[in-house]
Amino acid sequence: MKVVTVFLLILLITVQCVTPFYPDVQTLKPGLVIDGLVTDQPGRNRVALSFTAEYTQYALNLLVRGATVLVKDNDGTEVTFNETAPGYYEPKTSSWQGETGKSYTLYITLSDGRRFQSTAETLLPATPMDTAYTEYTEKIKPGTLAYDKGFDVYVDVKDPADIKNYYRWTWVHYEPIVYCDVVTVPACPGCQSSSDFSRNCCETYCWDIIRYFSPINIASDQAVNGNRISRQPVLRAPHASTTVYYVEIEQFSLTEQAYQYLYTLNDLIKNTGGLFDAAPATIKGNVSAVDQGNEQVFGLFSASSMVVRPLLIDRSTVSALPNVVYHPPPLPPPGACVSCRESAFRTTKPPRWWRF
Amino acid sequence: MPSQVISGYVNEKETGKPVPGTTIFIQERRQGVTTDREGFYSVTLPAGTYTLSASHIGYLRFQQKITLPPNLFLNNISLSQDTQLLEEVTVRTEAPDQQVKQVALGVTQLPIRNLVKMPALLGEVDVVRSLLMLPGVTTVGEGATGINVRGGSIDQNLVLLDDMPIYNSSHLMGFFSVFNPDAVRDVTLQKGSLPARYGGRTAAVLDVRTKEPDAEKLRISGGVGVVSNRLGIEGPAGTRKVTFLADARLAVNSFLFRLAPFNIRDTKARFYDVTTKVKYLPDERNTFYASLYASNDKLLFSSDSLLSVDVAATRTGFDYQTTNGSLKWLFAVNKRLTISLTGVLSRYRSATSVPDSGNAFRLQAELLSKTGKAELIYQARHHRVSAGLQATYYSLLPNTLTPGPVSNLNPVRLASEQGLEAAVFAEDEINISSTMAVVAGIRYSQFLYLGPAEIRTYLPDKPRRPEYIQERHVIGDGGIVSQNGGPEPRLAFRWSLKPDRSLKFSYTKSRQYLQLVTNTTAALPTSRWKLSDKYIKPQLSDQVSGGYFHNAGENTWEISAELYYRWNHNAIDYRDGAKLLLNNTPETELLQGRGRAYGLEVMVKKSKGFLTGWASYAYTRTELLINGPLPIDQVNNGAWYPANYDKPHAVNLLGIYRPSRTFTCSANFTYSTGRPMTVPYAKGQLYGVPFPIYLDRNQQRIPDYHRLDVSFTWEKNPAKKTNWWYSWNFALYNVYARKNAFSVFYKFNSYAESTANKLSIFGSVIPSLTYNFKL
Repeated sequence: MKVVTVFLLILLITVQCVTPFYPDVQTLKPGLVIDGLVTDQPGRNRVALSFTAEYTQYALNLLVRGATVLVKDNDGTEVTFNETAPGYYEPKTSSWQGETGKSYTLYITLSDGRRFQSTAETLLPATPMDTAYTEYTEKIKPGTLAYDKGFDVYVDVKDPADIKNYYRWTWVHYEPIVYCDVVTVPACPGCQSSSDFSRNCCETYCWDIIRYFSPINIASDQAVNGNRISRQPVLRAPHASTTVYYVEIEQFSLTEQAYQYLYTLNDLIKNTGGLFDAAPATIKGNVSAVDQGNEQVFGLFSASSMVVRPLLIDRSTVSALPNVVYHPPPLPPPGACVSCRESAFRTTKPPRWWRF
Repeated sequence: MPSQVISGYVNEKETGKPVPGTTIFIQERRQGVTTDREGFYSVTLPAGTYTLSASHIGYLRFQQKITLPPNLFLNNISLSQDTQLLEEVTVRTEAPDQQVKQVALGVTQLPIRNLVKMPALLGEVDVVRSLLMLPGVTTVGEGATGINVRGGSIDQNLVLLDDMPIYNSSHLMGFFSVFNPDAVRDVTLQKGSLPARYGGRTAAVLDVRTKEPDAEKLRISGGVGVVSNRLGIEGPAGTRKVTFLADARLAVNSFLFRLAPFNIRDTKARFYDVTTKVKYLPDERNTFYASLYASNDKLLFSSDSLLSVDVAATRTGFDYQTTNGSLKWLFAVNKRLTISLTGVLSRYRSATSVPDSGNAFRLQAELLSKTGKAELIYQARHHRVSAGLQATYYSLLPNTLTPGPVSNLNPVRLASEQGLEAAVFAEDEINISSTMAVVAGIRYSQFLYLGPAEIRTYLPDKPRRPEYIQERHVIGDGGIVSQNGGPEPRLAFRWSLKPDRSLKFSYTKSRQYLQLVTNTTAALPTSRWKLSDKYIKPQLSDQVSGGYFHNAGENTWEISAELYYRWNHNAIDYRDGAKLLLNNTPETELLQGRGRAYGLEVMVKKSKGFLTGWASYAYTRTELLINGPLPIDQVNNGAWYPANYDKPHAVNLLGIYRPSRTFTCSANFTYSTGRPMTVPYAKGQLYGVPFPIYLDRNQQRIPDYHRLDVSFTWEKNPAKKTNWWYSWNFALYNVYARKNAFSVFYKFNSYAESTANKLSIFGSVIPSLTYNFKL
């Protein structure tokens, strides 16, 4: 039987392998991709516009600049969105927020005059989040002897029985930082590449804003209508320090169409070509070209009510040593402190529930 | 007169090994002795002239004239192996010129003797996968359940085990077939002209027959393999009038997965199947059969990636069972007329489950069919008439969700479906002349979809989507919701140009009222079965085929070429992103259109001699056209596109070489065009995540598939007279370790080049070792 076991070993280590493949490349005229969101919270409304790229292209930065973006509600009230960052549009008045029960329509005019319009999206009320809780786990990293230590964050939601509900969860993590800038020097005289030389501390309190880059996390109440949606995973907070991990969990209400769209999108992103993966699908959003009906438009404009819940994870309660994150020492002596520049990824304003 | 002695050794000519147990016979004196373990013999005779013969099973008889005296103290004898016996490899249940003489086209019968000689994945003799070596039979990939015959989908094949329908022919999701090779006698695949007694599927009939139990003595057989272990018993039950067989197979594979890559390491899998049959022969005119078949699979995956229910889960379980039973009575009224009555009960049950307490549930589906069939066969000089009635009652519980004890899930029970398929059929095989014969048949089938059922009316001029339901009303128990049906003419014609060659032509129409609806590449065991109803029209197919058949060299060579064209009406495909599980209105996800399949199959087969096997080439196309009135009801803008299993070119080579009775080696090579795939046109980015943009289906192809397998079998020398027979089989699957593509998928990256990736199910050569025994 020993021989058999050796054979099996050879066999199963090599089963199911993935190798690169180069099919013919197909091309498509760049199409507009819309990521539009109107919520009932101030500062959480945005329209991001970009163009599609050939899938072999390295970077995806075909941002759409200089477009006229406005959102109209069912009473005819308009709000203009201004470009606050390249391809990123936010309401002119930053305190603007949507209202539950109203429906919103997105209008876009590109700088070349092409016009696009969404269907009217109703802002449905959100269901409150019941509990958010963490569980500390250690998982061995595949192929290594190291452990991935972290806190799995789950939420429970009591689903209302009377209506169909569709949910989406995202999160924002604020990581306090000490150094706001890195001084680099060229690796050799006159060459392009450079190496870190020293770090500059921050003049003020400063936080890096880390948003969900996790898969699209959605759920429907189809299976649990009226009961509790339990143990819905939201994120895994790394056990990289013994300080408090600050995260805001966001829960959105979705319309059925938005849910269907995200569900299909999720399938496309997660497709690993396995035996039982569904066939790739064309996804159609709710935005279309006004003048030319056949122009390809992608993406979604949605209106959501939003519940934000802070979670402060006390990482000092776990006896296990945190995973070490390598920080190079500031060499030579740190330079002068620099200001913490406000952006979509960094802020000086303490997050709402921050405890000093 | 003094006695004379003759003695010596009997050896095998080829190897010089002694042959114990050889009978030495002196014909004139009718006196015989047998050789001992060293092959030695000694006979004492009076002087005279005698004829000595030496015989042993498996060797050519040896004869010599001897005159005594003098004493012949060392009269050694060499025996040659009987090569005729080696041809048992090709022993067949059909006549050697069957392919030329029979009227039907596209029929292949493979006896199990040949199947066990073919190389098999992990040494598991697989009745269904072996058929992939035949022209016109393909699969979407390794590990996918079912076969595609002449461009048909997997549910367009009627799979029968002794008259019992098998709704899922695969163990372990799709890797092995559910038929225990120890219990099977032969398998027949009919892909051209279908006899009128078969109905309900449009592409092919796969008829698996179990062995007739041994009437002489009780026998035990079995085997130990990498995947499964087998044990069987057959023989008379006290009296020769009652005989039985029972064969069981068990696989406990969890230990295999422990050695597997990380992502599937925690998978647990096991299966078993039991095939039993009892035959009762009270007298010469009556035969009764009772068969029971059960198969069971259980798998547990450590993720929810295959879970189609919208809950978070850490583990997903799959289990599925087939439970079949049949009773058959054959009554010979007289020499010409036979009547058979058959009753079959067949149940297929599948379930997905999640064990996590808060989200625990079990989602089960069940398909139950009850069939009654009466058939009479009348044989006259130039006619062979068969006629009969068949009725099948289907009841289907599409999805029943049962939450666990502390689960938050709500119980769900989708409305059951029930229907009655009734058919009458008659067929006559007429020998018109010595050169011409025809089989003319007709089947008339009718399908009633029965209540209780909810009928939904959709708004006219709108796509059939849940949001456009106009009204719903309920039809009560037993009420007829919808009905469909019609005649299915069958015709086959043979013209023998010469005794060893013939031309054939056939036309077959068939209707299908039960389908497997799934939009994944390979069907899951939990994929949904659906009866034709008010919205989903029955599939209809018309096939014409013609062929030329030639046997050469006294039936050593069989050469055939067949052409076919099949029109498919109401072919099924799915809307983009269709969700079919737990869906109360599956008709809103299905699209129906037209299909066409056509091709050419050429085969050269050698069925005699030390080397047997075949070479075949097939050109097979299958395309779909889904062209609804609204753009949303179209696929590929209403243009023809290849189906998922369209694989135009296929070449198969099989060789079985048996130089001696103790050793057999075989090899097969298979090549086929890659199946179609959908390629993205571009990528976009949403929420920081890049995503692919697909516009049309199946416009490019995955890389071509080819593979070589070899197998070596050592058997116990039949010359050794012990009850215990055994054989060792060593097989290599995918000898040159080609990483054949199962699929191509894309990894999208916002900061790097997106790459296409090829997924191979087997990326290496797979060896296996199997031990078989018989008592």
